[in-house]
Amino acid sequence: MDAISKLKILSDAAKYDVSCSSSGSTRSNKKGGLGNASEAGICHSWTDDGRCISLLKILMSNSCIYDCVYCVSRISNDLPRATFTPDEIIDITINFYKRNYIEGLFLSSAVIKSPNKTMERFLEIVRRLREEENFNGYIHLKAIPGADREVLDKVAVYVDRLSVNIELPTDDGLKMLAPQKKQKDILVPMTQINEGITRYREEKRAFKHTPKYVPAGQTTQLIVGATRDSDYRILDLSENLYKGYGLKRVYYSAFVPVSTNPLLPQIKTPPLLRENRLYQADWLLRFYGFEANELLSEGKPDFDLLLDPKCDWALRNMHIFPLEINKVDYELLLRVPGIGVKSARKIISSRRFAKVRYEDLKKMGVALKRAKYFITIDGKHFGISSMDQIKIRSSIIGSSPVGIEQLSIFDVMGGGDIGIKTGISV
Amino acid sequence: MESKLAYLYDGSFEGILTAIYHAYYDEDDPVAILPDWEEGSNFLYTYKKIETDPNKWGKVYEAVVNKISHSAIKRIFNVYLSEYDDSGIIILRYLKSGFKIGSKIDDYQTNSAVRDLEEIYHKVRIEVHRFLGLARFKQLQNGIFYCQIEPDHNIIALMAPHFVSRIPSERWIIHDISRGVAVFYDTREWTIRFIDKPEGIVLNENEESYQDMWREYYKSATIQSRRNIRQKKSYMPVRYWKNLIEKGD
Ligand code: SF4
Repeated sequence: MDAISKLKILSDAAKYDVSCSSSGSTRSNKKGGLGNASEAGICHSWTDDGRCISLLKILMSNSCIYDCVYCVSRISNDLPRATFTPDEIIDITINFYKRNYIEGLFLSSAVIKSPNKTMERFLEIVRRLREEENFNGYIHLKAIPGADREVLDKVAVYVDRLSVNIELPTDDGLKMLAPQKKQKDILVPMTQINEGITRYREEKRAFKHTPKYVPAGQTTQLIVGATRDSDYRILDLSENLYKGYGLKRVYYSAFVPVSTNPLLPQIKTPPLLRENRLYQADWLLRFYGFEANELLSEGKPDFDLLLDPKCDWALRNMHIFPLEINKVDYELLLRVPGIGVKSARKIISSRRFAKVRYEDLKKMGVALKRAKYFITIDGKHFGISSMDQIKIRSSIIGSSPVGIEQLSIFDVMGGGDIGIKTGISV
Repeated sequence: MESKLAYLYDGSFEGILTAIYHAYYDEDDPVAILPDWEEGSNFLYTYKKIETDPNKWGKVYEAVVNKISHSAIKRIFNVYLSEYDDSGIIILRYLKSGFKIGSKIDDYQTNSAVRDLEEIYHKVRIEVHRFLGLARFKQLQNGIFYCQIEPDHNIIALMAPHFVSRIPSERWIIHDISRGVAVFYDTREWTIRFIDKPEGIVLNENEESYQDMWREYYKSATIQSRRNIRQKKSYMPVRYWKNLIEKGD
């Protein structure tokens, strides 16, 4: 098969992957080399669905020895298979890069022969790109769980970002849908990458020329809605991954029904709204000082799909509202629905000069449609007369078309990439 | 009707700086500072020709760096490259405020000269950033990587440093075909030259196959069920499409 036919099969399979960022790493050009990973991230084109193309995102192979029921590349599925040779991947990457089509390579793969064999191929590709081709562009690699420690450590020296997909929120889910995988096997490489990054930071202080180790950090991705796991289970897991494993991002992708296997839920469309709620909640964990068990609990395991998670939380905590805009501190401002990080900062800094008025809030980017129920401005309340949570809930829902508005807010903050996934590879 | 004074400079950045010098020392109050090919374009204007003079523009350059900042020079250079008719006079108004206020000038967002300059500066920077992604190089038979663009502003000089660090060991050309100017890079340094649109360029034998692969990749990267051409156009305005390799809808 020629390279272009392979490219067709292997880029098609990879496109559903959600991580599109090529930023967060600066790799300046070594003398005589090719490329510089730039901090700002550059889009080279936009697809007809409006997404930015920054990286060459391909699978090395879709010939899998595993049989995960939610994945198109599973061994039992009947579809055309292809595998790139290292030479082909290197040649395409270098030539695309020189023509300014891409910022770098985002490589993942099905498991060919064994996890170790697959990782060794990856190693050959990234090592040759860096050492033989002097390529300094961005490289994001998806590590294969179950491979040996040594090969992962070797790969980590050459790439900018590594990710290991957690795939499903619980081990039980994996047992049922991806019988060859165990959560332990996935967490082991994550721990290892995290340790490597920490070690690198420490050594860098002592020795100037410590080789880089995954400078842009690690990310992961999990499928939402292929198992019965609640939002609470998922968010709790994400919190652990951020705190315990130092992950940069957790990506969520709504399950797309790819087969009629009885083990899978019988749904027609991917649960995109739920995926979006999880992204919003994830945002609250990372930038708003929320904890998973504040947002959800065993007794309230799933988000209200009609409300964004912050509103949902606020309505269950009406005793702390309304808050006085001209008094409360930054941490509390962040908890008001409709107030974001930027507008909270603006409120704090302009409060030093003068009292903030209702009309100022709009200019500062506060979404008053939601915020007004939860605040007073100099003692004056602009919401409805009652502070009853049921009345406020219906007033908020009544004023915004479900989901749509939230999705566009997400587009801005999440980089516009709401991914669906059919075939994920490890 | 009283006629208004317009300065004419030779179109160079040095020319604009020389004009600034005259505005100060001749105690003129020009309403426009235009490149000399604009002479006669407005019958309300009386025109005064400014002769570019290294002594004069050198002094202005120094004064901007010392009394305002390095970033002010960078800003006015970018605004000059916007090629807007009013860029010259906006630069003058900005510098007048700048010489009074000093290095903090750009924080004065309530000053209209600062805002006007900022607005144009932003437009130019955004276009530069876009073209760092949208420039497409083709390899010619002689190995040189050749790129054609048609930007709104005169930005090739602002793009060059990025590509020097990106592709340092190849020879390449970035050619603004609407203005007839190009950056030439020979693996050591880059220069700008005037050059017409080339006819019958001969491509490297492998060039077509990489272009085919790129088009294939571009096509298969689209998720058909989520087509959203409007969003695509908002990120990548249609006027920028014609020199791309890939063509969507
Ligand atoms: S998810 Fe990965 S391991 Fe499982 S079948 Fe798909 S490609 Fe293979």
